[in-house]
Amino acid sequence: MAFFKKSLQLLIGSDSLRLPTMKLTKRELIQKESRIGGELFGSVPAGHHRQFFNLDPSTWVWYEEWTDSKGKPQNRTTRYEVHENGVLKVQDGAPYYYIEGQELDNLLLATNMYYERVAKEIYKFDAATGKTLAA
Amino acid sequence: MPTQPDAIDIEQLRAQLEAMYAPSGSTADVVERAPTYQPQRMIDTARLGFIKPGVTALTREAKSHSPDHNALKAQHIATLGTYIDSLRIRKLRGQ
Repeated sequence: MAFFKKSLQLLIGSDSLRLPTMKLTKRELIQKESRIGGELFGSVPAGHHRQFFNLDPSTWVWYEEWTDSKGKPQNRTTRYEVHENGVLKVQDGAPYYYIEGQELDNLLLATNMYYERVAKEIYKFDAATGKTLAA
Repeated sequence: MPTQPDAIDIEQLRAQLEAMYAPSGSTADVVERAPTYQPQRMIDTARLGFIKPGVTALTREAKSHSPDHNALKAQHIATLGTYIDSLRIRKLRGQ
């Protein structure tokens, strides 16, 4: 929960954590999704916590937290902004750029897998058939 | 350092991506099985015929890294985001 709150704070500010009930519920759904998203890129190294989630229709977020060799906590948030002409990768302290090549393919596949898994596991919806699954 | 999509070990992902591609040298035989509840379409989905949620095969176009195809891939990702948002809304409404 703390990781999720922190990543949301980093992204959209601390005020967003005081939202009406319905939005809190939506946030909880995103939190559930983020657990699935964190599994999409393979095993997470020991001591790391990873989340990957869809924040809104045009924003995907990668958040990772770990402890460095000196025992100091580290974290990194990467935001992928979907624009009409491409996907812009945004990281603090790094130049923004439109991803391409293998990186874009990886993101494309990850978002596909994310959609199919959250649809099935959280929303009981089969993305392949378009049918609702039994609860 | 954390692994990022540009540097991850993507063996599992790659295997699935390859599995989604049409057989080498073949033309696309994409079976559209997109959700029936699709929200209002924001983009020209006809151009996205090479890749949609639930499809089992992609054309060779999907492998292209041309600027035009990069834009299509971005639009596809945006479409997925829209689908997910629709699922959340349905869940919140108790449908």
